[in-house]
Amino acid sequence: MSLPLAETHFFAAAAVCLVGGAAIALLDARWRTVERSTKLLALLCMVAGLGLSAIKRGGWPLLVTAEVILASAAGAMLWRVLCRHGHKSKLGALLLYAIAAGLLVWGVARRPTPQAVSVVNSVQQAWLFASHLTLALACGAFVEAGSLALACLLTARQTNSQANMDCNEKAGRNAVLAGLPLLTVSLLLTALGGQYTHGVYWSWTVSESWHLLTWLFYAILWCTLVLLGWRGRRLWGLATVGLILTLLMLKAMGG
Amino acid sequence: MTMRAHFAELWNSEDVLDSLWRIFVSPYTTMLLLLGLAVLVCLGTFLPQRPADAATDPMTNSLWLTSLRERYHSAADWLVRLKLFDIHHSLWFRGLLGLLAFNLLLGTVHFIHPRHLWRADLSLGTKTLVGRLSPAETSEQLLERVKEALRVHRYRLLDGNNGLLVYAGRFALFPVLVYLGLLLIIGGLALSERTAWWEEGVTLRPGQVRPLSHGTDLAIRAELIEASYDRTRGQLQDGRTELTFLRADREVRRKILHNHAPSLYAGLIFYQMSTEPVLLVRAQDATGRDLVLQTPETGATQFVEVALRFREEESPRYVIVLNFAPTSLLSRYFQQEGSEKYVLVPSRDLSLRLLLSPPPPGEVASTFQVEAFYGAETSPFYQHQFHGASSVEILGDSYTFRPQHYAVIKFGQDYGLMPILAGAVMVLVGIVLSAWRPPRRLRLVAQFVNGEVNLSFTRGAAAKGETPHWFESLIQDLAAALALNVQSAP
Repeated sequence: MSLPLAETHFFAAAAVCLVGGAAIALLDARWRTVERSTKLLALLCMVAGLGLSAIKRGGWPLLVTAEVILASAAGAMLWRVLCRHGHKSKLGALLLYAIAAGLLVWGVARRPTPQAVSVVNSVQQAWLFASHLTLALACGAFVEAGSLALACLLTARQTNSQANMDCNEKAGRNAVLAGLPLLTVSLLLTALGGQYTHGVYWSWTVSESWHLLTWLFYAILWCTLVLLGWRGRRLWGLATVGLILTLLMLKAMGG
Repeated sequence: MTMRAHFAELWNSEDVLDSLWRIFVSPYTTMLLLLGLAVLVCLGTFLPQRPADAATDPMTNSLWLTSLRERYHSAADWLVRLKLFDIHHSLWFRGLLGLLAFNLLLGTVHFIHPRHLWRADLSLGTKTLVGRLSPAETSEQLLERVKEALRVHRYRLLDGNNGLLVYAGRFALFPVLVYLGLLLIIGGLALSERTAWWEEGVTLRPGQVRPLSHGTDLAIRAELIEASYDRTRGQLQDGRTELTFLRADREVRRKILHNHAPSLYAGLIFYQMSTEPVLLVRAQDATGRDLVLQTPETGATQFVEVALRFREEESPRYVIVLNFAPTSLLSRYFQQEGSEKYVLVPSRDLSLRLLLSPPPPGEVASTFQVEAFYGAETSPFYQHQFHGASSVEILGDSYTFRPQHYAVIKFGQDYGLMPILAGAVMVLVGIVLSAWRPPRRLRLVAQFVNGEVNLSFTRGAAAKGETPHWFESLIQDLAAALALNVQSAP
């Protein structure tokens, strides 16, 4: 996506906030308010950049894959802001900042795709926006859960602080249980949109297959959480695998 | 408990049917089946899959398999043998879906009428209520009061071991909603597979009647076909077709079709996939007699009037026309883009090339350009541009051009759509509700010894560490309702 200068400024500012937030996360609890502010600022900058990009393109936002990747980074920051429990893990925060920054750079650097925006109808654009928005929020939730799970896996041997790990686990659990319905809504909207416009609700493209694959994985995770009450290492390992699948799904979106 | 240990625990070689029941009811089986489906979907993204047109056309299928063998050599034989080149229609995929449906069905039945009650893990901690039985009350009456108190808290109760064990559960319906939703989806897919049909690529020009067949006595007729273009970009914005439904040549209904928007009638779904520009060409000599026309696509067939369909997205084609007439060139070679067509006038040894250009910004009508060529010459001797209907004179003959539009329609029937949609909504609602309120399970062991009451409550599927708030709250409420004291297990 070739970005005019204005959007690049916002995304660069978001990247600076992410780096600053990562540095502040290493400090002690007195700096929590500052860290929270940098998170909010990064989120606002990303949203502003996406909005400006859409306005200049003259269409709805999140219609191209690069914007969905950027929105996923924003979604991850949004979940971190909403889920207050994960604040105790410095490693979890660092991992989340790193992944969000990586998504930001990836989204900005992604080459323009020939598909661009093929939908002309404004109703189709709105439908696609809704589908991609729920997908981006779901990806953000899974990134949040995955980063916390990875932090728990890496720190489990080093520290016996069960309280901290319980806190992170609860935050990760909530993120997964919130992300799965959003992913389901995204799948449903995509299928309904295809059925409405072309009479085909599923066509087994690479993007759709990875979408379904990620849903199946998180459905398994839902079984472990809700039906079996799994906790601890098994759950952290699954959530980390889910994070990798989410990133692969975003990569597959571009075709 | 590991998965292996769990399945080993479920297996009882003395009662195989019961063991199979336990295994198929287990959530671990659901997870394994979902994992199997995920593996197949993943394989489908990495391995080459047979395209849809190869599935319906034996020749295309044969060509595709040949190209597969050239690319993958001996590995292609394994792909073919294991049916991995068409995973989504393979026995593996259908078998897993079938097993999943069986597992979900048994899980739903197990919820309604459980054959085996769950075992509590005592290592997770137990809360005990203790007290004395009042002289006016028997142990059965106290137990009944406990059950009533649990019912007040909306717990579903099951008795075990001749009434000395009570199993209580709440919010178990929410995961069952997910099970039922997935069952509906699988059922809808099976219904679609068996009963759905679609007819695609049906072209209609204005006034043309097309019977629908497929067991209906309906026919469709396009009355008016229009295309609208975006003034700023010159792109096709929408197409509109007035469609009339006929039964025994009598009009029964009229509908308006727009591009990529469905329309329903008589249980059938209609889609207008596109509206294509068409140019009707007719030629007459000076005496008013019609000249015979040919096109490269139709070969030697002769027409009085030809209809040229323009498709901008069509890739270039190479057409060779053989002419066996004496003193004529044997062949002519044409390279056609989708937006250009050729008309041949054999009696005049003339070729007409017609080019379609989308409307320029600010305009709404497409532009046509006609070029005339002598024999096999490559430079035109005549050129003319026009928008709407036009009549031109070339070498004393009159050529009439009338632009129109064709509608490309797809129609069919699929009874599986509604179950799939309903199932998807149920799955979504079940996931949301079960995340909001995860299932709660309790086991109560009641002991009455010398007038002393001992009620032990153990929770199921609980986490190590912190006790859930709902369990603490419930024990306190029961203690207050039954006038007993709470005693934690050592």
